[in-house]
Amino acid sequence: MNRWYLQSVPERDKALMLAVIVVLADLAAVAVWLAWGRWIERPSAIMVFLPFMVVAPGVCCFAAGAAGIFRFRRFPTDCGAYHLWLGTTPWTPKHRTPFGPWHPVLKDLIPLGILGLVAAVHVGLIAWFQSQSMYAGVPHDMRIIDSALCAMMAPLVVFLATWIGTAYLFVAWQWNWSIYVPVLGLGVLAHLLFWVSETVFVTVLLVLVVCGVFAVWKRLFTVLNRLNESTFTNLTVTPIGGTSSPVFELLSPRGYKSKAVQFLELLRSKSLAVGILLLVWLTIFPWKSEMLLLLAISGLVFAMVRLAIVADRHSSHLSLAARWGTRRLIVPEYDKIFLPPLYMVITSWTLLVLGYFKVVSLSVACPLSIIVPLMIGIVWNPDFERWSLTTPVAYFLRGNVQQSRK
Amino acid sequence: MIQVSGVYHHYGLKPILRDISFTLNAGQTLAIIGPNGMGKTTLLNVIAGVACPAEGVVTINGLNRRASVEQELAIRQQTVFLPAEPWFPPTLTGRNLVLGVGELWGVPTRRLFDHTERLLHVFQLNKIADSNISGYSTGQRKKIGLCSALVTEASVLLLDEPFSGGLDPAGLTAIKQILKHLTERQDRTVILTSPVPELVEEVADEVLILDDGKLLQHDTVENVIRNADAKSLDEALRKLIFPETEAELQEYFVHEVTS
Repeated sequence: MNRWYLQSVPERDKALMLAVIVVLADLAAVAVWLAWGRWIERPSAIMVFLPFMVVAPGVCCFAAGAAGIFRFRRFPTDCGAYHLWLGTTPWTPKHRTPFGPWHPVLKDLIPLGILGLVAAVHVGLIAWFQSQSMYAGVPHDMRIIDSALCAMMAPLVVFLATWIGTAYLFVAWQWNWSIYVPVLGLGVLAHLLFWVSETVFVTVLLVLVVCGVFAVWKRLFTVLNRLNESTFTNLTVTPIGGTSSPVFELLSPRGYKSKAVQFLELLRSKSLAVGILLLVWLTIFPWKSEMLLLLAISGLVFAMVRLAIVADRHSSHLSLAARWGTRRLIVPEYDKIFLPPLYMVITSWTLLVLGYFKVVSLSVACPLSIIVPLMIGIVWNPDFERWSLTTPVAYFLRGNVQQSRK
Repeated sequence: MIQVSGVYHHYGLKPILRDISFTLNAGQTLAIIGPNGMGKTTLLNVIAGVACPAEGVVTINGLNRRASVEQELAIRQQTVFLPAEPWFPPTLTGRNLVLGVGELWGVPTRRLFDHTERLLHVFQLNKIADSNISGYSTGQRKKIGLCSALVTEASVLLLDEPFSGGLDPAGLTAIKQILKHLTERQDRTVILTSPVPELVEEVADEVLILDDGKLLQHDTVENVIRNADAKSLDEALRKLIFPETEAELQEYFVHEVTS
């Protein structure tokens, strides 16, 4: 039981890296305080080590978010090879998935609790220092406790949010109108309610979010059930056994399309639809200028994630060390992968700067600073012909080597 | 017992399997041999339920493959299929993979842990058992795949090219001995494919030779060798499938010399 759960927990070296970052940031905070902080007047003293103190809560939340995505990916829903393998085993959706859970489980409270505790201690300390330095003599115990409690909950909330977000993206990726249209409709409804009354809006919004989560959850199980059923009795013989041969797909008189082709063909329309959906939902929130820095960091993180997804498929001979060794620092055909992340960061930051200088209103600039880079990240791919002939991500096709089942 | 009756399969317009029928009793090892591209893997895929035959029926221990959910689940419980290039979760350790697969087949925990240890030891994977599979070499991947198939304790083992894929001599010996032990002492049934007859001669009780998707011969190893008037299975296969190879080689060298 524990081993089953532990298989879904990020690896030991990653946990160690997280601990090292937190400890180093704390040590840096102490060192800075000892070196300069205590010589500076109290109201400003906190500013000396505050940047180091916020590292730990930030890293904890980031780790929780990464764990949320990792958890969903633990059941590689888009991995045809995994499905095929499961189709040869006695597994059914009633059983636990092998190699750990793919959804949040109660045991997650332990690692998330540890992350929450680390974040709470740091945020509590920051709040205490603030109360000591800026409002000396005034008791602010409640403020400290409130801040610590919020920080304690933050990793859990981030974990659930990223898991649900990833799950929803997967469901949307399957292009299920029964999920997409209601969620879009609910967003529009939320906008309308906003004009009626704030209380009604908040209540309805909460109910709708819960309904949305439930719908995604149900839909995921339906997908899993279908996946399994199709491997039992489907007797359709697909041409070329589902092998994703670009030549076959381009020339096939039957118009057979593999999952890879279907995925690429609908990519642009899907990303547009996702963009509209996000626009509807994100414009509901009251964006403020304090959030600009957070959004700027988010844009950078999106770009890094996009880069990591693609760069992960690169061979080691394209690493920085290898390039230095071969004296070929730039490999143009491969280095195209750096362009989309670069454009993502540029567009995100440009929109935020426009919002900061009030050229564009914050309620538009902030959502767009999320949506536009996201769409660039999704859409910025070569067309199928170029992709199939030149891309280094050949293993994507290899996932469908065996017989596919529609 | 495995029964394959009148199986046809094709990819697009290209026929791969044509009227394949045979029966294999429990406790026997059947080696499907033949040149590359003659349908060995496709036949094994059909038996494993990964590919659906265009025509024909596969019966395993009295249950029809892909006939109903209940029958299919029962077959899957009794069968393990290891493709030539199996899928591995890259972020999982070798030990966790083997244990996870064993759990999936419902092997009792104590026996599962013990068996896993023994398998990792015999395939010399102890030292890297707790490393991620993504860091394994091709041969080590092959070995961990074999371990995961063997740990299931399934009564039918379907192994696609178990002796290829970079297995070292120790690994080859280990898998051969284990397969012999399983069929002789535990009454398990094994179907494996190989393009190289020498490798299967030692372990196979029966041989099924495919040529261009058709069943050329299905008999015991001894009978195949005797019928072909050969000294080994390799020679028998050469005589059966490549009778012209010797002449073609001679012709090739004549051209080489004259040019």
